[in-house]
Amino acid sequence: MNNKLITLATCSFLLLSGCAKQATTTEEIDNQLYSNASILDEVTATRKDVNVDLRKIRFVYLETKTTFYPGRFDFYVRKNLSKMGLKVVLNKEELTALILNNPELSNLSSINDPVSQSRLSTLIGPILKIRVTLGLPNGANRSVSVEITDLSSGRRLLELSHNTLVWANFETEVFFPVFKVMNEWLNEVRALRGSEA
Amino acid sequence: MMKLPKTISSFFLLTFTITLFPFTSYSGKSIDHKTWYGLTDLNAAMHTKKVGFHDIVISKDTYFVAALGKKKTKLQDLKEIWETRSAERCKDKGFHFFVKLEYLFEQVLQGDPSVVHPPALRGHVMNTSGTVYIPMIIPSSRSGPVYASSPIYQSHARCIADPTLLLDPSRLIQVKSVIDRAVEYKWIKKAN
Repeated sequence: MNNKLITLATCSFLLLSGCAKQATTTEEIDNQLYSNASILDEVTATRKDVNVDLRKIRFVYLETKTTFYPGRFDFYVRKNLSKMGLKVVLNKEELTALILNNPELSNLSSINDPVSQSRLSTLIGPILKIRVTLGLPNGANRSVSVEITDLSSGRRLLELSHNTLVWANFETEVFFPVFKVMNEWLNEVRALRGSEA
Repeated sequence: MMKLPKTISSFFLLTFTITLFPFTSYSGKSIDHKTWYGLTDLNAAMHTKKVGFHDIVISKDTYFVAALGKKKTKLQDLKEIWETRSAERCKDKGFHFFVKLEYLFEQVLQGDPSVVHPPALRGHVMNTSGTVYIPMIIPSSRSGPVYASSPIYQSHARCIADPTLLLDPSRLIQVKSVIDRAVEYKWIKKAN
């Protein structure tokens, strides 16, 4: 009876140990950020400029555009930016509140035109604008484009576009390839100019 | 009077129950109890059939919390989910109060730094005049894109240690009252 119990306990322990080995920790996931991105469709980068100092950037102005669950998409992009290390993010509503709550900024009439954005950048510090667009052209086709602009200088730093047909996984096939290139660009910028605070 | 056969009456009873059941279970706070809590994987943020929260740790006292709803989720429910999660985060760090920020570095406490640079670095105000452009919308024959949306309640929550420093005390939210309400809704279990 005792032998049976010992054998059962040993088997259970070995089985549980196997499970524990396969589980991935958060750190491992972070190190392999977007590693399971699809490599079948290339992401087109029409512009790639690493001449920006992320340490001087006050915040990221995030502008998302889609007709497919815009609120969730806005949050989804924000969460991915935080995984890439960009945590100080303001979307359109937050930026509007910032301008309305500060009388010093009352002379800004718009946050959409580049001139006002440049002025805002002068008044409160350099802003990195990240615009992410998700398009649903037809059927199972999806397109994602990313534009990153330094609002203080008006320079477009990164332009990416990715069109793909979704076969199995919306996230890994549509978003991960784009975020992977974005993350690589950020790492390149940090390596050249140092990491932001 | 003609009597319906037993199988037919059972069928009607079953149909009636199936039709009315979803409406009866939607009353009060029972709708999202089991589905919203613990939405933790990131993919779920785009899983439009789920209700839940997601959060981002910004700093030791600030979190970005999003309560994501389905098409028919009430905004009040999402607000309460947002408050519950924010209260949990602040409670974990030992805070008793929190406020909802309108943007990340909003000045809510006495002594918080100003958003705008010191006057010396500010730009100057210019009076402008010129052409006023009036937007015109030209209808297109093409059918528009498919639009799908669901409610979301998202904002930064800042945990507060000393409520006397708050610039606007009416914005203060007490962690205990939010947690008590969540316990009452059976969203969370009462901590020992």
